[in-house]
Amino acid sequence: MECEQARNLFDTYLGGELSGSLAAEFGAHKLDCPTCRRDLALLEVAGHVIAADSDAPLLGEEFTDRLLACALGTPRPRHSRRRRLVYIGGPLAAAACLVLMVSAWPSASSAPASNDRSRETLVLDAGDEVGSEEQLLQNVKIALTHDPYNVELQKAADALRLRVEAIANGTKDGAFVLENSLKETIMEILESIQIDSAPAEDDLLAAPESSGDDHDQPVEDL
Amino acid sequence: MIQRAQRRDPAAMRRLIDLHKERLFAFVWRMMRSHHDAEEVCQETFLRAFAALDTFDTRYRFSTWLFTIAYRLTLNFLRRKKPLLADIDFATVAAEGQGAEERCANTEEAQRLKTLVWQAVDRLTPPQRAAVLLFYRQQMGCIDIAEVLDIPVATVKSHLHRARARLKGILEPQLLREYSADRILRGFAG
Repeated sequence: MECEQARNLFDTYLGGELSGSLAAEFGAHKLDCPTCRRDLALLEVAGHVIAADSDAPLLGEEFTDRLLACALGTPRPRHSRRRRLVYIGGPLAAAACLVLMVSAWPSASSAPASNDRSRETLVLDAGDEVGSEEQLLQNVKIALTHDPYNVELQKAADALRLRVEAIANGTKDGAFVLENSLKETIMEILESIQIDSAPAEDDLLAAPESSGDDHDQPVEDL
Repeated sequence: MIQRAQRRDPAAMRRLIDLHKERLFAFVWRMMRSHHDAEEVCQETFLRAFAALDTFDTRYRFSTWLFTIAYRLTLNFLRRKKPLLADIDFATVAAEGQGAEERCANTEEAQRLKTLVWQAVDRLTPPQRAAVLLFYRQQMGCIDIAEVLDIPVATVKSHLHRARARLKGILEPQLLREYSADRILRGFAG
């Protein structure tokens, strides 16, 4: 067998399709011809390198969950929206807690004593409802019903209403605006009502740490 | 499993994804060289496959169908993107099994060889690269590759032939300059 004939059989050989007498003849030429042997070895090495490749990265474990959620049309798993909840859910939750805390705080302008029990209930309920804009506004309205003359509460409600409008599209920038604005509002209110044991600012603005699914709804629902 | 997945059985769909995702991703990643883009293409591949699962003929292999979709999406993606970057990091190698592959993976000179080979693969045209990857990585025959790439079998053979010629043309001058790599070749040739 000549080199040219052998080279024409390289692909067949590498594809594992060379058989019979042709394979024997090819093998004999390979033994005799160092040039063909080396050229073939180069292609074999390249094939081995490609076949043995283990450098390709792996998909994350969450890929399947995310894909299934998309394919089945269910809401995305919580990890993919957690960051946005921190931006939006956190400030809203802080505002809700603050509003309800203010509404329950005994002050000169507070409602008659007969409403104390109702206000206490509101505070207890707040933790369950802070993840929903609708519930949040509802709580503010209820708090205002109990104590319509509480100036701090009204200020908080107004600030909240304005900021909720600002993030109507649920954008990250809007959420930052909301967060900064609420920080200022919260600090103003805390100063005005002189709460000595006020929670730290970071705690107020942290994302709600609930194990339930109440906070796990998409941002678009807020 | 396919039939259960056609009825939107989540467990069957999950099983299908888990069975094929890594092989598919490795193929797409080798074509695109971008983790993010490859993941996006893989996700889109599965979504399209599930969306059209009712039309899938169960006489064919599901994996071949998936690779077909992935290849077309990859080509579309590559057409929209800039030329591929060649700055690939081959930091770690884990040998697979015994024999030639293992010999290719464990030494420093083999690392250098790997880099050269993959740089050469990256310089192939997308159809040539796809044919090579499916042939060597996925152990597909020319008939299956033809189905995935949607081209005649003869064209697949032509792609493989041209790809090998090009690999040789790129690798040979570089390897000849490197004594150590030449030693590897002589080891294989012997």
